[in-house]
Amino acid sequence: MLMKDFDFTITARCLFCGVPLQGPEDAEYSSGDLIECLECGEGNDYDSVVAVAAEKGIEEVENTVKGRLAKNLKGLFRGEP
Amino acid sequence: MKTSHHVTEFDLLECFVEEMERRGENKNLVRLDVDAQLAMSLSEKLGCDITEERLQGFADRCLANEWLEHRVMGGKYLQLGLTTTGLGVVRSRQRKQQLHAQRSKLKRLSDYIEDHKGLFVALGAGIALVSLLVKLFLG
Repeated sequence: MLMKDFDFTITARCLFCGVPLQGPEDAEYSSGDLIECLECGEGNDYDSVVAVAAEKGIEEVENTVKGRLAKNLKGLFRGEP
Repeated sequence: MKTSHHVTEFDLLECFVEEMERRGENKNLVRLDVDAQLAMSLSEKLGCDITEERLQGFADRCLANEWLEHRVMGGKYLQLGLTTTGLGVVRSRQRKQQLHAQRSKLKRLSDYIEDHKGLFVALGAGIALVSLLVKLFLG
């Protein structure tokens, strides 16, 4: 199970309405910035958006690894008499 | 006399953050019951009457949006904790208020005009109409 086999995409979502945050392609945000949600108009704190996205990312990685491990373990015992 | 403060679910979320800061603990260690005691405490803080039922209505919205979650299996409004998203909502609102307060005088004036542009347009139209009428009837 190699890490290069995994491909994760985490979408940054508005903390207030859950809609994916969108902005200009060349936009650069940093700590302390407020990212405006085009759907509800609320300002999202950059650090908080990153924290939520990181938490979801870790959850996704955990679930994927657990799934792969379970699959691999099943395969290990398949050949036993 | 109680002042009129429009109480929202965000005030409930702020209670959790205040409790975190009061205890010096992170969000994972702070759990609160949304009960009559919390309603009374929030009423005193905001200077308005909040019933337990109303507060639980706010809690329902926070639970639905996953800003609050249950930390133990028990009553619907017992031992609730703030999620990362819920904390983010509070921090976003605090940051917005901070930026709002730091605006320069010129920016405040510009924002005021922007917020009330309809009124300014109506005022301008009114002045133009009065000027036209004065010119027509008084020469």
